[in-house]
Order: sequence, then structure tokens, then C-alpha cells
Amino acid sequence: MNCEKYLHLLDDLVEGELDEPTREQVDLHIFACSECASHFERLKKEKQLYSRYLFEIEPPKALWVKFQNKLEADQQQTILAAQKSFPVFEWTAKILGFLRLDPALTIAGALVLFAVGVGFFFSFFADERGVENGGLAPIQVMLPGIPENGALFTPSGNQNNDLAKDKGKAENSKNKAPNPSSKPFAIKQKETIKTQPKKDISAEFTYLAKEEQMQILEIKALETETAQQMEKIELLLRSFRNARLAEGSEQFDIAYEKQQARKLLAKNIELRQKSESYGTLFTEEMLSRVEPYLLDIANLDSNPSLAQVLEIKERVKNQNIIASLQSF
Amino acid sequence: MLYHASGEIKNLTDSIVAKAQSGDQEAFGLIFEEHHRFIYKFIYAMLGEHSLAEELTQETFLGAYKNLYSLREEAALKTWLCTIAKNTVYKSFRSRQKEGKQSEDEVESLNLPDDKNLLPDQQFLNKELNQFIREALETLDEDKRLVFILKELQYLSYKEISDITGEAISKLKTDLHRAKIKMRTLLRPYLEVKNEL
Repeated sequence: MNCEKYLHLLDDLVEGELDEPTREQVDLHIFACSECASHFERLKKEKQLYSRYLFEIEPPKALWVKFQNKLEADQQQTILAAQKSFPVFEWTAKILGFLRLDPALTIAGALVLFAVGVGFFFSFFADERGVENGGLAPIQVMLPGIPENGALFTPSGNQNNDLAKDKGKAENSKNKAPNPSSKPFAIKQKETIKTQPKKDISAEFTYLAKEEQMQILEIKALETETAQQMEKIELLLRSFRNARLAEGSEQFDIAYEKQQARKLLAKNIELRQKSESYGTLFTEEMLSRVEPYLLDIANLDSNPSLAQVLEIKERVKNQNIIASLQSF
Repeated sequence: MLYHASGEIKNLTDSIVAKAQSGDQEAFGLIFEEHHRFIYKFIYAMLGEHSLAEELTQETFLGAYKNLYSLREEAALKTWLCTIAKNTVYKSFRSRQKEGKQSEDEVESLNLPDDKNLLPDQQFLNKELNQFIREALETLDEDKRLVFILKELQYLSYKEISDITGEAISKLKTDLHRAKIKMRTLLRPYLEVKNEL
């Protein structure tokens, strides 16, 4: 037999890297060649042994919280670093620092800034005709439904459209202060229109969709957990199937498998109940299928008889449970 | 229902990544939940210390959070995270080499109990095996250790490992083969006594 050709392929077979036609070819060879079959078994057991190494390694439960704290601290640091590296902030801080030393100067500065701001605001909204009239320009606000000549609302609600036509009135208005209540009213209306939130028609839809999305996410999380559970059960059943007699004894050495079965059983029940509530039939079915094996292994006596252990081993082999776990 | 849900879930995974890329922390939380165990185990296997694994897992996801915008294909998320983890671990190797550090965990792991009869049960034997494997892994150079862990302990394909390391598959196969030979040699005394092989 040309075993040399197959030796390299046995490694790839154990690693699951062979395509279907090559895998079948190698399987046939293993069936016919006892040496390659033993070598293949050794490679499988070796891989199984290594797989135990990370079996119980789990991250701490609070890792997400720790990560969030770290992220927040990092973001704070980034902001501080950005502020330090941007010179304007530094200069501003220095100027403000100087002003803090002299309160009078600070107040004067603030007043000047305020006056400049108000003046800018007035000039931005000033009506040219108002300025020509010599008084303070009445504030014009372009509100919907208001004529383009920017007529003011008076408190009484009457529009005065013909300011420009009636010079007499315009002359009078020069001496009168503009109706104080009209301006705030106009401004307020503009602000109201500006800030009024849009009617949130889409919110309801988004809210419902979000609930559905949350459920799908929960199902996904359940499936991820179940896949991890299946992986661990597969390793357990392989380990149980390959269990040997303890040295100098006629009993199987399965204390480790018993212990693992108990841990996995508790988790299995929890996941099965969750999948029942979500109605994920396939997941529920797989979990229900493996539970009897976990129960039987967990409930074995501390010194189980050969017959008890062999019966479970036979069931594991005949029902091909390991293969079906691999396909999950 | 499941197949229909699977299609929705695939689309939802893509949209989770898209949301995380636009700054949605909750979406990033889901990514963390899905992948942090894998990353933690990988880093632990590379370095052999829980405290370091915890710290570097957080570093990995911090790097991922900051650079998620650069991820082009959602399907490559796992290998992308592994690449960040690998770089974080290698960076740790360099700094530890410079400082000549040896952690307390490492020191403790070398102190095997004198009287093995103190804990005769299977739990002790498994713990012993884990110590052997951990110490054997430490004798492998970084590249061989990396491919051994990703292939033998974490079941990634050669294609995925190639995406993470940037190495050709032929080189990875050679490295893995040599790593296995060395591991076998180092673990033989233990394995022969326990009749495992």
C-alpha cells in the first residue's frame, strides 16, 4: 500500500481540511490499512487531548464592564490630549486666566462683548426703511403666511401693511418706540416654528421594529450559547467514548467526565427552557437529544460497573450523536 | 422558522456591524459578547496568564472600537479581531522581552507539587496536563505557537489563519507540522505514563 502518500493526508483529514472526494479516498485507505488506521487514531486522540486545554478557560464575567470603563477613560484622555495640542484652547485659557485675576476687567470685557453681540444682532435683522426713518428698525421676521413686505404683527393681531404709504403714520412711528410686545411675539413665533419637533410618526414603527430586533438578537445569543454548549458536549462524549480502564482496575476512569456532565447538564436545561420559550425548534430538539446522555453520565455511581459504562458507550456509538453534534 | 430567522440574523449581523461602525455602543456590545471568549482563550493560550489575557482582551477590543470604520467586510470580523489580538500579543512579547519580566503566574506554574498523591483524582491529572501543555507551548517560537493554537486549540481553517498572519498556507502547514512534532516530544513522558497515546 502506498502509505507515504496518505501520511500527509491523514494530518489534513484530522484537521478537517480535505475536500469531499479526497476525504472519501483517504477513508477507504484507512479502512484497508491497519497501520494508517492506528496512526489516524493517534492523531485524533492527540487533537482531543489538546482540545481539553482551553475547555475550562473562561473570561471573567465583569470583563464587559471593565472594558467600558477602559473605553471611557481612553476617550477622556483623547479629549484632553486634543485640547492640549490645539493652541487656541491654550491661548484662550491663558487670556481667561488673566481676566480672572482682574474682576473689574472681566466684567467690563463681558459687557463689551454683550454690547457687540446685541449690536450685531440688531444690525443683522434691521429693516432699511426703519433705519431711514431714524428710529430703531422694527424687527422683521419672515413667518409663513406673512406678506413679503415683512409686516409686523401688532398685539391686537391687526396687520399694518401700509407703513410705507402713510408717511404721517411713519412720521409718528419715528417718535414712538416700536410696540415692545410685537417684537418678542414675532421672535417667539419664529423660535417656536424653528424648534417645534416634527411629529414623530416613524417612532412607533421604529419602536416596534426594535422590539423584534431585540428578540432576534436574543435568539442569536441563544444559538451562540447553544453552539458552544454543543462543542463542549461533543468533547465530553468523545472523551467518554475513549475512556479507558483505570490502572490495575476493572473499572473505567470517568470521574472527570462525570463532573463535566453535571456542569453541562445544568446549562443544557437552562438553554432548553429558553429555546422552548422562543420557539426555536431545531435548537430545542438538539438540546433535548443530548440531555439523556448528560443525565446518564452524571448519574453514574462513583464506582460504576463495566456494564453501565459500556451501555452508554454503545449508545453514543450507535446513535451517532457525536456526528450530529458536529453538524450543528 | 429557524431558516427564515437565520437569513434575518445574517442581515442583522451586518447591520449590527454597520451600527457599531457609526458609533452605536450597544451594537458594539453585541460584537463583544459574541467574540470576547474566543479572543480571551486565544490570548490566554499564547501567554499562559489570566491577568494578561484579561488586559490584552480589553486592549484588543479597544483597538477594534477605534478602528472599526476600517473593516470592509462584515464576514471578516472574526479574523480581523484575531489579527488585532495577534498584534497586541506580539507587542506584549516585545515589551516583556525588553523588561525581562516573569509574572507571578508563570513562576507558580513551574512549582509542581512534590507529592502527586496529594490529589489523586482526575481533576489533578487534567490540571497537570494543562500545565504540561502550557509549558510546552512556551517552548515554541511565536509563529509556530500562533498557528498551533489557532489550528489545534481554536479550530480555525488554514485560510482563516492565513488571513490573520499574512503567511502562505504551505508555510502554515510546515509550521504546524513542526510544532506538533515538538509538542509530541515534550508531552511524550506524560502521555506514555497516562497511556493516552
